Amino acid sequence: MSQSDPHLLLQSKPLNYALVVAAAAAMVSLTQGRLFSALLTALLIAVLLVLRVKPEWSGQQKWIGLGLMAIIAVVILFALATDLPMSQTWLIVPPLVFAFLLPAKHALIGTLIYVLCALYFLAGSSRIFDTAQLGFILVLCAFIAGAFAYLRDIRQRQLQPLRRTDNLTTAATQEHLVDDLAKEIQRSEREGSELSVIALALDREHLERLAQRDLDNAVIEIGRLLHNNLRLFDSYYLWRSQEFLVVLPHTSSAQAVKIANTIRVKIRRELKIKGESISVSMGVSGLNVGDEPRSLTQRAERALEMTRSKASNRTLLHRDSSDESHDEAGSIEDNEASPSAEGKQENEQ
Amino acid sequence: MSNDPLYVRVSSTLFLIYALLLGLLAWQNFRFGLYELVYSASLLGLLYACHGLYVRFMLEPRYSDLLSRILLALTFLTIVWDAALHHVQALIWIYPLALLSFLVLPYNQAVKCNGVALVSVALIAWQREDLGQALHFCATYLLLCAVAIAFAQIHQRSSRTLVELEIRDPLTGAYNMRHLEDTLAKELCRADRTGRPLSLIALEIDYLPQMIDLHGLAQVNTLFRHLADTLRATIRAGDSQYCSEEHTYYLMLPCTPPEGLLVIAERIRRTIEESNWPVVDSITVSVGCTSYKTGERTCSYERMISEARLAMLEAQKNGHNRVCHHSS
Repeated sequence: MSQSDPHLLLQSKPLNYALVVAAAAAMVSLTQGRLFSALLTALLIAVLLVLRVKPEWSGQQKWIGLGLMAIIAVVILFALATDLPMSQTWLIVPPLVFAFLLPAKHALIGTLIYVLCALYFLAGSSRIFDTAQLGFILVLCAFIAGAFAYLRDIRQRQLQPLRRTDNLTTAATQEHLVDDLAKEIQRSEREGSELSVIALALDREHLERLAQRDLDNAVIEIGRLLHNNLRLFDSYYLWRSQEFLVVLPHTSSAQAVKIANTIRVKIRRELKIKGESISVSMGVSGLNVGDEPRSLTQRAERALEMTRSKASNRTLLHRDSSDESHDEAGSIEDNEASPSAEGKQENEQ
Repeated sequence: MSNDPLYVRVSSTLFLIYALLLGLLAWQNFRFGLYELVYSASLLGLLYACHGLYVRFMLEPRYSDLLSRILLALTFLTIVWDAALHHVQALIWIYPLALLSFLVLPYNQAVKCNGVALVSVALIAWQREDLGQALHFCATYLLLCAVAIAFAQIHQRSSRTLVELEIRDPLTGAYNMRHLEDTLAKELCRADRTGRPLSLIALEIDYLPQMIDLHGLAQVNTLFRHLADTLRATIRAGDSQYCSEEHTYYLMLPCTPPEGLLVIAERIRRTIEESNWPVVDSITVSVGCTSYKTGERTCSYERMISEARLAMLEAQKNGHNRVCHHSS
């Protein structure tokens, strides 16, 4: 179900020490003339170093990381089969690494295959007493690794429903949007107050130009800006991958457009990704009688889509008949609070 | 940590597996005629089995941490003794022990203990075998510890966030005080903006300490649960209920002016007085209430909570079973 962040292991201090000591061990083996164990250790160090430099290989580009781990496992097993004394200590490591870096199911399958192979080779070994011990220890370590992974997964499962906010953007997560919005709608009906929703998204040009990592950064920055600029009782949600939804209670749609424009100009002026300023488009929609959470968010999104398809860095208020909303696009461009430099940039576009 | 049922289940299972494997090892050693190892393995196996059962079934979790520590230390000493005097191969038994220590001990202690273990084991390996072997041994040890540390960190962190994110009191199902502070801050900001009044009620069961002395906490807990249910049924949609550690209940009522607040508070007091309750037949409550209206004064959530509390204390001082409104 879940795997851990490889950084936590690959960038940790104990691993650094381990690599240094392993390098020393390889050198000593070399001086003692045990060439093969030196090579084996060197290979292990190399693979760990590669994973350290390119941590995405164990994360996003999973297959490379998997391949590397499989190679290590096979090499260790081979060393075991050829009865190399040094290989014994390394034998225990792979199940733990599997449990840490792979999702539970893959780790289980990998460990099972690995342990069975290892036990097979151990049974065929000449020094039966040592190898029996090693077999016991291998099984025990595999169980402990399983326990670690089990604890981690259970905790994650317990945390999932409680986690209301995304760690990086401090935005509440999608699942809570519908519930919270329903509550807000009920409340504004009871109190007879207004309610508006803003859909906010990065402009298309950025989506095409920026790399995934920069896009993620941009989203985090926008989340921070929203956090600092909204009122305490406003809430915002990470809706799609690069889209936020902001809920503004006690706000008419005209006020919401004003707020949206202030935020939009702030983002344009303050946020820079790789030295370039970024822009967002927004769709605004106000609560109508008989609205449900879905219909309200859909209207805001429709307005957003309409602005994004035509231009960038705009705000559009959704009106019921479509021709009216076209008019609105012109009237609510950033005349408000928009500095002259901003205006110029607009014209150039 | 030792009170967590999940943790108890996992660690006791591991202890039992450890015991099983030690038993198998003892049998194996017996077959090969290494009698001095048979004794240590079977003795440790027996101890682990007992400890696993103790952790799983014992009702006294106070000692299980201490016993785990003693057992780990004992295992470590046995391994070192065996390795130094009899059979150097016994050293590899230190690996599962290191991993286990990260599960059993608190994180910081585990790191320190393993540091000490690493140095002593390295010295033994160096003395009994050669430098290359010792270095290989240490490298593996460090690698295993690196993974175990990473796991332990994840576990520690997620356990902590679990506590932080929990917003409900497990017993009554009411929200906890941290959530009250969060929502109250939000609602105050909202009341400022809309100009609508916001009210807070604090209430406590009268003569609670005596009741706990008389009936015991377990019995009174059922009463708390019933009270929370009753309160939930009495308040309107949009109001919310909170419960503090000392079993003071707070009700937050948005958009409620002082006149309406008094009516609701009085209704709650009467409902509780007239209902039938488990354990004790009837209870009464002292109710303190306060309300906030924009423009009158600025207000923080701490102040609002303490006002409601003060009003409740005053109601208790005036003879319990009554409603008291905070007057500034």
